[in-house]
Amino acid sequence: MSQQHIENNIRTLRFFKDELTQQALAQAVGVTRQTIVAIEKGKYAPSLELAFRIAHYFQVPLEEVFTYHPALDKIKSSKKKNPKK
Amino acid sequence: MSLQEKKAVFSILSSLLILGGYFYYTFGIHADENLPLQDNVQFWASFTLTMIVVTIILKIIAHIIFNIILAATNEGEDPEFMDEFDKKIELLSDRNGNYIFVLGFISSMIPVAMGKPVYYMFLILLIGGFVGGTLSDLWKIYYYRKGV
Repeated sequence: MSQQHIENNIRTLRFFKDELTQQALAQAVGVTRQTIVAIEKGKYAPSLELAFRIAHYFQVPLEEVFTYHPALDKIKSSKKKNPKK
Repeated sequence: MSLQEKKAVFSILSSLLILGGYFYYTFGIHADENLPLQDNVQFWASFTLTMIVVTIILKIIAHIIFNIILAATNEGEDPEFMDEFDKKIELLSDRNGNYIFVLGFISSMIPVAMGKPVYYMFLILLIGGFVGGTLSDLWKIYYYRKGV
């Protein structure tokens, strides 16, 4: 159930913030350490609110924290049988 | 094992102990009084209602003991705190557990429709509820490990 189409740089950002611990980041953004672990491993795509909170904490744009790969996204598009033109 | 996984494991163990203990008390220790009543609907209704009350009270006590143990081990995390990840996992696992319970509920009607004794219905209902609750906790552990 990993979110391969959404990558993140949280581990790198933590490293450049004096090896910030997962627990400290979790407390700063208001989640549990388990959630940070799941996001880092790509097992959970956070809500937009949490994503912004993480980006805000590191003082970087959202795109520097999360990267979206459309080619890997197995999106279920709704198909119309008889589309009207 | 994370705190959330420990909570799920503890929930499974406490349910198993409480229900096992209650069944042993009713049909083991007081078998002479209760076994002859197994075809009585009134007995099963009072058995189920008492079981619900007993389970709630013992679960609260077990929950308090679990929190004391956690505080003593000093993990530094609030066991009551739930974030969006926890809530999503709880919703998914509860949904799956409820499917099992509904399946048990529908299955419990089959022996009644076939003219079997009423205790079949109550037993299937209780087993459905227990299996649904246990699988719900197992799904929590699965979702915490595999992600959602």
